[in-house]
Amino acid sequence: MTSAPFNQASIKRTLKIHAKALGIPTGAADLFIDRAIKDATKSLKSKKIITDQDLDRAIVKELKKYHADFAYVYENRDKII
Amino acid sequence: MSVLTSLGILVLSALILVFLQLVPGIFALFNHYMHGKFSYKKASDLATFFIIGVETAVVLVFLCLNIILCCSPTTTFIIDSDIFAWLMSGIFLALAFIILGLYFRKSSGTELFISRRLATSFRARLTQVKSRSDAFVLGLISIVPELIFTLPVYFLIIITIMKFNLIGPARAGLIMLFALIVISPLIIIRILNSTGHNLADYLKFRFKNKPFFRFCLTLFYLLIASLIVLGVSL
Repeated sequence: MTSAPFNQASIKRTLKIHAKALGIPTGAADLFIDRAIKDATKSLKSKKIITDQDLDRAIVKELKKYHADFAYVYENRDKII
Repeated sequence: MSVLTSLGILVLSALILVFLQLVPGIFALFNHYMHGKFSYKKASDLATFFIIGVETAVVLVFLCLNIILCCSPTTTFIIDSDIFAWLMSGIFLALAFIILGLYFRKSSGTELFISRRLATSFRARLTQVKSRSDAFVLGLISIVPELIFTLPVYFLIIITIMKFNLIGPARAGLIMLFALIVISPLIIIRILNSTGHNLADYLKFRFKNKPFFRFCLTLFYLLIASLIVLGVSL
């Protein structure tokens, strides 16, 4: 397995698209996203190998604290078709 | 085949076209991403062009089948034969079992039968749509992977309409009606989206009703297979 650097900007961009589509106000969305990414990164610090799925799961777990629909859409975005 | 049997086949075909999940799934995701990336006006505009693309593709398929069936001198002879009816019935029976076992993947979501590579490619493509032509083309191609399930239905619709012996405009009108039925779930998704429902609501609805969709689609294909056999024996 190859290791890739954690692309925070790309994840933020994707999360912002989902937030806007769900009608979450920009200020609140930025706050949720920043906190979710920060806390998710913190929770994964102890792990040596972090997969994309680990990161997604951690972000979803953190997002659930702020906005259930946002977390739900992000969690299931690849399970529709 | 009696008029009642023919009407039954047309109604069940319409229900199949409404219940199939691939195009509405792609559209819901597309609509969501467009509203996330662009202004409401541009997103709505792109969604409209996606729907026009789907409608165009369906009309083209119907027209091709209509031309093939109407222009061939042996068509009437073939489609009136018992062997053809049994063959069509067998195809619908096989599709019923394929729907039951393979249409939805055995995962927590509503992942469909298409390969994961194709699904990823659709997702990647729909997030990159920027113009009306992109949206239109995406709409056009989104019906292709599901043709294995829809083509026999389109074929049966054309044959059944042919048997009504309608004149040109009436036949075209009926075909257009079926083409509109295909896009009706997309229009419903758009209306729901503009009235405050989001992708989360749609996903929850799909996930919750996955067994129901599978059951209904299987039932509709089985009923059509039975009606075709019934049409032969009557």
